[in-house]
Amino acid sequence: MSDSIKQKAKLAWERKFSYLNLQEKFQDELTFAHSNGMWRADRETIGFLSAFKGIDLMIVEDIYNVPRQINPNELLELCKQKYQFAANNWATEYARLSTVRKADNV
Amino acid sequence: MVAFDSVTDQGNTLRYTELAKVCANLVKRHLKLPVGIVSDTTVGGFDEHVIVDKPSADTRHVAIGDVHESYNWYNDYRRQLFNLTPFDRTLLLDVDYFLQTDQYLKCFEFDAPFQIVNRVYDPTGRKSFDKYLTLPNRTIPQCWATAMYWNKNAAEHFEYANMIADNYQYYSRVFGFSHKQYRNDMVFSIVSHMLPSYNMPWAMHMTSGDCSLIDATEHGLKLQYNNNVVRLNNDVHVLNKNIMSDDNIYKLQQWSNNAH
Repeated sequence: MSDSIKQKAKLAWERKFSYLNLQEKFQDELTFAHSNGMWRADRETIGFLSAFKGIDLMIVEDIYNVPRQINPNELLELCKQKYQFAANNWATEYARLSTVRKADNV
Repeated sequence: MVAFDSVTDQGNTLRYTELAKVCANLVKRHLKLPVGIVSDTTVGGFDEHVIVDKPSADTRHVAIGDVHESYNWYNDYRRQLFNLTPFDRTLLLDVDYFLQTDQYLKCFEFDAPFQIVNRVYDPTGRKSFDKYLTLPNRTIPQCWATAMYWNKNAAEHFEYANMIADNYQYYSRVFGFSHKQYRNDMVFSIVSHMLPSYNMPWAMHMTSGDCSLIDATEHGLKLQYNNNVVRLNNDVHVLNKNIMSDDNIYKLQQWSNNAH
């Protein structure tokens, strides 16, 4: 009996790590190259760029901390697209994973 | 890719070239790029072939099933690839790095002269590789030559890699690693630290030697460790050498062929 409970506990723990792996994949999918820089389409970047709507050119540091000249409207649009795409993938895979009940079905 | 088959002291052939075919199928599927191979023999399924003599080898120990075996590890060719690659822009991958996404296309879009992996993520949650955050004497960050990107402006990086390799014992003393086995990770970590380089902005997913392959489907690779299983559908570097067993090679070939 105790072995059975232990096994169930282990499976539950694996589910948690599968969710974490999915989250990690989501974070990876948010990065993209644009205007000679590398960017992350996270909520902070989207919020920051939203404050500069209407401005044609500005300098923003990319994820390597290099200042790059960009068009904030263009970059904002790309960030929004990337975020939506990655978040949709995440949600789809999360939903599929949440239906798994046994290690055999992982 | 670079692949040289090797025979262990127990007579088992480690078929790196077969694994390279699997890896090439996955690259074609997910990155839609031409794939080349450097080997001492012609290998089917590649767009470009560079035939070379086997390089000098170091002896490496490996657990295959329950048996510990040793074999010649032909590891020292990577630093010569700047002159050997037929491509203007090259992404080098280990043959046991199985791509399941298109994220390495970002390296081509960014196109910095030299890019390399510097973060590793253990998807089993055991943080098996955290101890390799820096070179052994904790001076500079460790990078992973499992995946490297370069273009025609990276000549200096490879010249410097050759210089380090030619003076490997000296550098091993400076940075505290063993000189007995040549490791590209060490050489390119130093290169990456000393010359302008970019680290790929994601962590390489890597599973340790005790994670064995049990299944490969459209949902990814299923690995077992201890009494646990995990399904991975991200790019994943698999260190377990049992993936080169006949059964697993067949499984992976079917999987990668169906990936087209």
